[in-house]
Amino acid sequence: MNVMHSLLVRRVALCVVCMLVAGNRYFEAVIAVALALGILESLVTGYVSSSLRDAVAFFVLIGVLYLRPDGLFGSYTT
Amino acid sequence: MPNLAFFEPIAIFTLLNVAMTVGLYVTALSGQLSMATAAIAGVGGYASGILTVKFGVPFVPAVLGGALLGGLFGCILALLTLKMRDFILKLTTLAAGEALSVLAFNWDYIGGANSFTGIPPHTGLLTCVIVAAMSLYVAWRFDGSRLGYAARAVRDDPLAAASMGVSVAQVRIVTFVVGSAIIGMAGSAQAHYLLVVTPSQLGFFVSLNYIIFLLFGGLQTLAGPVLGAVLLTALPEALRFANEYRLIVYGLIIVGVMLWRTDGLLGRTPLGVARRISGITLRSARLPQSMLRAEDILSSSTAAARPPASAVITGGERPSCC
Repeated sequence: MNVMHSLLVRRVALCVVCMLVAGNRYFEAVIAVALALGILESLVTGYVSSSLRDAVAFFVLIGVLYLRPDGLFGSYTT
Repeated sequence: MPNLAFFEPIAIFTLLNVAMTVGLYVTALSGQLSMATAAIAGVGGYASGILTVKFGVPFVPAVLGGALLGGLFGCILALLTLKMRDFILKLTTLAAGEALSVLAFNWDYIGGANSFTGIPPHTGLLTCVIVAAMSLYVAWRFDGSRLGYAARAVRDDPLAAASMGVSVAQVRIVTFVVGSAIIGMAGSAQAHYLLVVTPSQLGFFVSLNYIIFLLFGGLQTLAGPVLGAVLLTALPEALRFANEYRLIVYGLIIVGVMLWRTDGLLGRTPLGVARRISGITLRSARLPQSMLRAEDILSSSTAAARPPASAVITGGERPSCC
């Protein structure tokens, strides 16, 4: 039950993180961000620590949204 | 007469939930509904647990330390989310909570995935009453203060509030810090009752409970979160006769009440029936009639001054299609 929970949360959370980091102007940006995030996770797992793998996405989200609240590639409306 | 041992944990959890939901109410007063409640409570719990177990600090300073660290974490979150809009802000607080949960999972000094255990039992019913009373007092004073009204102005319209001379950043940070300190205090008290802090306690699904309490009770008055927390903590216990269906019934009751009163149980105006029966008028968050919302005045005057766009194009005739 608990394992299922956290896996599910992780899936959904990663999708939301990609969406927000990319912004909603270009849908290609979402693909690029998703790829980059996956690579970044693997790099962190390899070079830094495997225990940080789950936290990478959240730190990326917080960092990007702090600097650019509309996402990396901007929002459709502004 | 059923024995009191059954009711004591329920009463303790009710009081702790009241304190946490009141903290969340203070945070949400300026329009930033934090989804990291459980994470902040967990920070408080971990802090006071580590202080008592590893440094031998007595109970009261440890709880204060938990409140302080919770407030500090709230300050960091507030600074991070200062420029963000509503939806983005909620998801950022959610991400911060989840990140903290992952960090707690992997930090061996605070127990890691094995949880932080061995916290001495200090919290009884009296402590919880004191904690709930303190948080209610702080929230009540904050609610009626100038800062509380400024926070509501920021929630309704940050732009209008800023043009009236309210410092949006300051108000947001202060509400977040005060709310987080209350939550941290309640979290440390909870840690000394449960005697263990688990990383999964910091997750989103625990925070969701407090958000449900707040929205169920209604976030317009201070009585709302209190009522929501009390009712929804007691409800699963009252539904014990339904055995395995009780959580389904619990969910159905929440959905039914939210359909019946969309603003929460106590909306901007208290329940008419309850008021008629009890004669008690709950203090509402409504401003006096003399202080009409700036937005209403502005929108009515600009609408009168500027002709509608369709009038220019079609020569004064509104298009009949729409």
